[in-house]
Amino acid sequence: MTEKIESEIKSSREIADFNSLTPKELMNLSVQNLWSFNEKEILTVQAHFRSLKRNPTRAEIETIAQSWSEHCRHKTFKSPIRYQEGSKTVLIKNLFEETIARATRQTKKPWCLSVFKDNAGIVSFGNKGKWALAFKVETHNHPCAIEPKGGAETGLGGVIRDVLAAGLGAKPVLSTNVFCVAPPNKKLPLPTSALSPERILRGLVAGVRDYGNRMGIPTAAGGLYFDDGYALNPLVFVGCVGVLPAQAVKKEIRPGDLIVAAGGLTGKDGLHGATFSSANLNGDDHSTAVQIGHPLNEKRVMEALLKARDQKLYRSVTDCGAGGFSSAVTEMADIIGARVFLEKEILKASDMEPWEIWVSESQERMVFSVPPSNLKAFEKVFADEGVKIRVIGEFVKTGRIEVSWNGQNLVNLSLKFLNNGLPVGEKKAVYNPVKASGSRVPHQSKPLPEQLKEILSHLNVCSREWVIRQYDHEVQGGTVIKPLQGARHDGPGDACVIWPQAATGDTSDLSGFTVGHGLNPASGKLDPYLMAWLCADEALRNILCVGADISRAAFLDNFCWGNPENPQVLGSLVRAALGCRDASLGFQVPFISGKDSLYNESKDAFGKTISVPGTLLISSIAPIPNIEKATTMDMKGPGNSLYIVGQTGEDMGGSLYNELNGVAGGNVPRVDVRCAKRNFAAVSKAISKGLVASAHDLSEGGLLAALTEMAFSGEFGAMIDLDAIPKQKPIYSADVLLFSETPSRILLEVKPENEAAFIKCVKGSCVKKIGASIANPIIKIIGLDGLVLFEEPVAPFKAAWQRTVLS
Amino acid sequence: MAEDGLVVKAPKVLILSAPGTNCAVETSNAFSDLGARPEIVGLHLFKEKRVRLLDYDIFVIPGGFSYGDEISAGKILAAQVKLHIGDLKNFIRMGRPVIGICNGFQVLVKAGVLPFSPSCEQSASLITNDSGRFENRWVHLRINTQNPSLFFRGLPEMIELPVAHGEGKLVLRSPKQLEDLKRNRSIAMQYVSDDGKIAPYPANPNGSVFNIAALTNPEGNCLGMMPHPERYTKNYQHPNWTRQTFQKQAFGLAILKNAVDYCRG
Amino acid sequence: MIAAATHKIEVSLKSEYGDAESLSTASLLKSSGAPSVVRVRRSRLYEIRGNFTVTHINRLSRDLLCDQIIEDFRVLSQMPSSQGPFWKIEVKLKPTVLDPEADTIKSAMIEMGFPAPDFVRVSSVYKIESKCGKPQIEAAAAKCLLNPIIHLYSVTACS
Repeated sequence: MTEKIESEIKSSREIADFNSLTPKELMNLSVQNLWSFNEKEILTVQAHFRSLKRNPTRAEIETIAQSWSEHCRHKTFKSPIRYQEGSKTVLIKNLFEETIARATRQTKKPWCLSVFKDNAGIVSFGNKGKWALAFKVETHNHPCAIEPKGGAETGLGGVIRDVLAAGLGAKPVLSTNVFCVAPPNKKLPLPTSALSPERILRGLVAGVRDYGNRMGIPTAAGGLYFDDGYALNPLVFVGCVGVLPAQAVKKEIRPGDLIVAAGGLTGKDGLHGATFSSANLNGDDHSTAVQIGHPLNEKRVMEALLKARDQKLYRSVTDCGAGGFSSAVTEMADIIGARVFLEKEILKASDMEPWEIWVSESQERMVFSVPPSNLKAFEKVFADEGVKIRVIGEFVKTGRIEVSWNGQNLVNLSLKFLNNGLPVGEKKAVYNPVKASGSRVPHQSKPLPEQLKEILSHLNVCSREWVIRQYDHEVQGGTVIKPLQGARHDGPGDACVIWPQAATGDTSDLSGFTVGHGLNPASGKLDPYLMAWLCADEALRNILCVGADISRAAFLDNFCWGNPENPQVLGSLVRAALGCRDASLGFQVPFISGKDSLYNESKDAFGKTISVPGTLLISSIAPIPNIEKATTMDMKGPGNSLYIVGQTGEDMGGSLYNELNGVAGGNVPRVDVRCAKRNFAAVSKAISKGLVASAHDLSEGGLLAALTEMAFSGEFGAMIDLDAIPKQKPIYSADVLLFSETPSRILLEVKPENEAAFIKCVKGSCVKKIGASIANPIIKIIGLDGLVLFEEPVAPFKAAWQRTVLS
Repeated sequence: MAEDGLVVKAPKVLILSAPGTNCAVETSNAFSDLGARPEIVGLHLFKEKRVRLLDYDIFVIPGGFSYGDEISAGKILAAQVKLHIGDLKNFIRMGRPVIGICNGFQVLVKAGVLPFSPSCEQSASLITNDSGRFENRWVHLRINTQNPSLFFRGLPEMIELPVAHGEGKLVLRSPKQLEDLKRNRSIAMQYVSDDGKIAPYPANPNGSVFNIAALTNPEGNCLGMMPHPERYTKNYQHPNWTRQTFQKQAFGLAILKNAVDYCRG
Repeated sequence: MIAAATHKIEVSLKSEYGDAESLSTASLLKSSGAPSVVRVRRSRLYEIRGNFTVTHINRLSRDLLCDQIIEDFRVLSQMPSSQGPFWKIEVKLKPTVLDPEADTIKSAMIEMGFPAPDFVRVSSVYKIESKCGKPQIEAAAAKCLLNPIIHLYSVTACS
């Protein structure tokens, strides 16, 4: 590398010798400047500029690098993959198109208003479809590993901006999150630079709390999952739901409209590489700038945006996220074209190079497309909220991105090259099925009450009250079903229900919605295809239990995997995507939005590269036409009948019971989608008719854990008979019946006065009475031999469950 | 009826909004449902003198994180209210209802409005909860029946409302000040256990002195409260509405309704 | 014309008020490898640069930065620091990281009619009473009070 190139790279001039560099020199340049090109890509860039007979500027290369990044293009999901499974090999031309997108197309749901196109997925909502819901979940893993609080803040800030930029802007009404971290109190050998799991968890919670609470968005419907595999690479999923008028879904760009930036000012703080010197962590940790959030700035933008939207002052909007203006403007310009004058931007730092302004990722900024005639009014609305707007350019019908700074040309690229120039390379994927070790049941070693206590106090089951209460989950006055439920407001709700009165301003419209999550990395280690099914099933069960209209449910996907250049890793990813497709088609629930985060791997204390377990998060959203019919999981009274939905099988593979008894392997449960679909529809109908007093999902820990949770949350007891449980095939082990984790099962409580109507309503589906609730707060179980197998007061189990994650 | 003889059918409610105010819309929705005319008014309109407080019948400082709660909760907005809303003292003296909710209470305290002192200097504060963290939970509250306030008419002695704050612990300058507050009957609500007794955490969510959750001025027309009345305006906002085991009266709405009814005379 | 200067204002809780934040900081430090921590007092340090008179600075401290019921403030150039022995750890965000509190204070000062400051930065100051040595305190602080990726910090012994 010559000194000349180095100085030109730092400046905004043309890089004089770029076109004569060798492939090796080009790759060095790419690595040094964090452009993340592969060799084929950077050679394509060089060829392009050779054909133009000029050298590129730094700003141009940055623009191309951003536009072609994994983040913007989802290269893994959209380029050809040669997939080998066992002895079969197939060529998948475009994984996304052939799995998730295809399933969504085939389900043909007219209430899907915008899928995969916009910053969030949008579905119809409210009385007479007057409103729409925008939902987006994305990850922010890397920054959170380095600075958990700041990472969580900026991650949440980003996803909120995505919802603000969905259609012409949705008012955020729910913030949701799922954290996958290592157990906080476990000593794991970590490299010195890695933060402890406890610190990571505390930081993540504090970040979501401080940002979400200050934004005035209720944070609920979250999840926490612990596994040693997340020690080096925690996974942080942040999501947001917003409400917008149905007529504000469409956005457009017209030539002549102004490009207007609003929100935070641009500074060096957002430069990728800002942390270059300080990051002595392993690998490429410096590749992402670490920042902290400024919720007040974002809040000001939000208030102004919503006012400007209602006055119809702009025609399009997008979030300024990764890649800064470079990505935002290029994305908006699409095929039309844009001209940007960077000297118009207001800077926080005086020592910025023009190209730095173009790619800075300073937080809390958004870009609008404003017709010139509206500019004055637009400016006024923002000024009233204390937000300075900057007209940084205009959309023009040139098909090019042209950027200048005080007359100096920085970027002049054709959009055709940016949009279509990315060379695709075929990737190789291999999936070798994990040999099924058969369904194994451990010899019972401990007495039942002890087993149950261990399950309830397991980190993946125990109470999340410490986290939930730190989030303001009731702001906006619309959280009608809260995350903690029951007589003392401390039981584990399956989902929350939001009645977005603060967004619609209409307290007579009783439409609400609910959000759930399905996550099951343990099963993914055995079979990613079946994991996808289990995630979909769990995401639906959660929202079903509070009364979702399951026929209107939609999914979001988030894939977090290791390095896709590794064929085994990619093979597992492909298999999970195939599972998503089949589960979506099976349940007839479309995907409306999704994200992927790859390369989640780091070197451990011994220098070995450790990848996260392939982790799929399926999030669900569905409307509840009348919130007065919503229900909770706590037992409502004595003398009510208890029904179980779905058959129980011998599904101990990957179960918590097996884990606690030291048994690995086993078969991953399969979802019987025909039965599940029929049963879910019946439950949805019964709840909507007000026939169900409580409903709780059977998940980790199986039937006994769910039953105990219902009882202690309602402060009643229950008696069930194992013989009455519908079984897929004969099961003779009480432990299997009590702890099996067969999917698609739900416990329901029905009052005697509703029982006849309930039975009529669920006719034709597998819903069987297994016992009753009782006034005495004990759990009593009649074994298969007709004798009392278990009779214990619930209080000690509640105490076990209430161990806190942290204090 | 207000002291200055103003009787109105649909009282005009000024809901103050500043950067970081969160609960204005739901507060406004509640007043709309009560037949009042709420307006969310930005603080900048006071600075620019484009709005006059005395044109309104009720003044509300809603919850949120004004100015991000930087420095300390409500601190910056309190300084601005002192500076830019000079009419507030008159407004209170005229007997018109003023409500500060959560962050609004913090603002009233830090601006020296509550607890009332003749000098109008700050005489108490609201500081970080004893638990050291933000908490959102429903609490049991006991209304002081001796309190002359206009806000609690027709309410039972025990009610439930949600709190959501990180800095809600009321501290006073001296034990004598507490005695003054008792004597002035300025203590409006206290945090209690479900059987109505003064109890420690979690019944008292923040460690507030004498479990104080809400204060009024001695005349009872200016109320500052940590709990959120605007979050309990419909039965199904109560955490136990699906159990039917709760008093089926939306107490939050009842408090706001008293303010509206008072203006109607 | 007043010359631009940097003013440092330290605001700390009066000792008669229990400080939940300092208590939890102490317990975090204890569990992060500094078991002998006895007490932590946290204060906020505001660095403000601009053309200000002494009256400005006093008014700013009184009306905006300090809650006089529960807190004391001192303008650092006016008084020497003492009351040791303890470790003093000062933590602030690096200049390359946006400081939202400082940003908000800056705009609030302007809204309140102060001259516009050139620069504001907020630090947390922890005064830690402990028998631990400097490396131990520093390591414990790095584990729970600060992150060297975004923070600048200093550890000094005060007596």
